Amino acid sequence: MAITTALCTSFKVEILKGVHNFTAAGDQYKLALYTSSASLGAATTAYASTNEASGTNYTAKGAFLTSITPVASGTTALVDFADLTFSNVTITARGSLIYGEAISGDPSVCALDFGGDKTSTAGDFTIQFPTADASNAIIRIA
Amino acid sequence: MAFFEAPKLEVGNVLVATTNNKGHDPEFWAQTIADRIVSVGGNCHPVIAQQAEEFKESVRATALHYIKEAIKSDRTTLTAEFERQGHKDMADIIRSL
Repeated sequence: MAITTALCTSFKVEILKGVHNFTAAGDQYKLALYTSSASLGAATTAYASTNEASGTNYTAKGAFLTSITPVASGTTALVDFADLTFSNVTITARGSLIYGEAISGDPSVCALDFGGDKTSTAGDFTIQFPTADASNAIIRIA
Repeated sequence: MAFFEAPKLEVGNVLVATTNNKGHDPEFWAQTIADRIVSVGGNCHPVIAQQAEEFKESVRATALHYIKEAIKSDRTTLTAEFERQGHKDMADIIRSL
């Protein structure tokens, strides 16, 4: 079992099929937290509850992401999300999955490895997204 | 001979920040605001980079000040509401934070 940071292969195919719409008023995307027992990576195709993290004040299927309208930076297209905070939670997670909540089948976008277990006890658990530029943004098409 | 660079779909890396028995400090949010507003590229001219870093510090300091002011305002609202509803002990706890 492992979590590997990767864009899901199924997501790449679904882009070409016009399944995803990252504009703010488009498909709504969520981020769900997973334990170290989860298997997430390029082969992940959809949200699943297996080995999803659980704890006080964390709701299954995670939370919605905001500020997701795609933009261009030079010749690179990119998507950015606002940092996401799970407030007043007691939880341990090793990684996460971004997926389309409003799309039939909850198709996955990308898996994110935290590099180790991260724990919050009656506190804030904040996912900080990278700088929204052509070299670092969370999702880039170069 | 022509060379073509293949299109690439890439994913960035996230950071995770956690706290125990409290929320993030105002300093954390001020730094996050500055980092989100001002990004200094590694390839820009040193003089430009220095100016950008100074601007970023100004953004951080300004954000920190007003975050603290917003917290004070919110606590004023909370203590007033607790006292209005007869919970002076809870108002005192909020006031002491």
